Amino acid sequence: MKNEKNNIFIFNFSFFVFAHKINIFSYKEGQKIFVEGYFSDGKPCKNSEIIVFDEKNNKIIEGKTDEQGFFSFNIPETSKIKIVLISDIGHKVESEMKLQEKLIERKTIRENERIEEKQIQQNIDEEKIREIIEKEINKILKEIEKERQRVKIHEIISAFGYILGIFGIILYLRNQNKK
Amino acid sequence: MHISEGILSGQILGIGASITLAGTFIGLKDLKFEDYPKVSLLSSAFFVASLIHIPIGPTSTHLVLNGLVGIILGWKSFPSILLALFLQAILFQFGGLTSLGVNTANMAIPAVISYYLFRPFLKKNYFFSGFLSGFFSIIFSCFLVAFSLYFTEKYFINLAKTIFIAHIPVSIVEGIITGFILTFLNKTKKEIIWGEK
Repeated sequence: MKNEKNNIFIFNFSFFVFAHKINIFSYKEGQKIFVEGYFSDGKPCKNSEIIVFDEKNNKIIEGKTDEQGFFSFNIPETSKIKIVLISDIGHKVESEMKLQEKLIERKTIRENERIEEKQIQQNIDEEKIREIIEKEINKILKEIEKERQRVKIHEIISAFGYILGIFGIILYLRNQNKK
Repeated sequence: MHISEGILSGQILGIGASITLAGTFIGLKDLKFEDYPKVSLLSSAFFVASLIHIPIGPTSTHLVLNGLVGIILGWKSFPSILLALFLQAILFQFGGLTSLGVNTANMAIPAVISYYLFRPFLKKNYFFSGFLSGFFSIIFSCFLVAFSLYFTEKYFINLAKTIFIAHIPVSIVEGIITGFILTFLNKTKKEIIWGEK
């Protein structure tokens, strides 16, 4: 049973990115899900449209990010959600998040726990500690993810190489054909 | 101005891809032995320009330099821009592979047009024709982006307005930079603009 409980509070986050490039970072904290949208240079995606879909792809929540690019909503009663962030000028990014056990299941487990009074106390403390750790790890992960998304100088330099190489190959093939 | 994957309808993607394919074919036919270094150089410049970000209002945008590429390369802009956008899509997920055709067409069509419109005046005034080429290429690209999005968004006027307003400062900056680059090239390396004589 303890394992089951651990599963519920297991740290949960997800990111999935493709765009020029707006990025989305979503994470669960307490009873809410927080979403942050930002451009590849780290600037927030202000007033951008957010749509949340449930596991059956039904639209469940719609809204806009604030001045800091944040948006938050209560955890919905579904096992999986898809968060879509759309900025103007054709930028779009999606993030999927598994919510594993629902809140109801959490309640049943809690009821079962009442049998062992002592254990409850222990679990509540554990719960709080977990939430605090979750919060701190989210902060660090956000920084790591932002850093990961940043364009690196070596990638730019390697692109010059690719460009020269590809035109070199075209030139080579053409000369071969002429011969 | 890179349109992401999963936004446009299949039709628009198809039209964009066909235009790009045709343009690239013409461009490659036009490509002579001595052009290769020039085309690679401008491809690289175009590639890097997109990484210079300028924050404007709620969004963040970047230099494009399709005016510069266009006025120097003409039809050869198509392969040049296609390669740069392809690498941006692969390395940085800017735009996307399915929207590569549309994105290339949106950038390269204005480039080819500015070649025909402004290159004849280049010898009279390098800075001014460079400015016009940079400025109008962006404005025209904006129009094409808005036009491609129109078929999925359906509120063309508002969308076009947002895109134009966001890009007017960029197009001015872009015009000035294109003007300076052309003036500089004219003084130091004329053969990049006019080819070996």
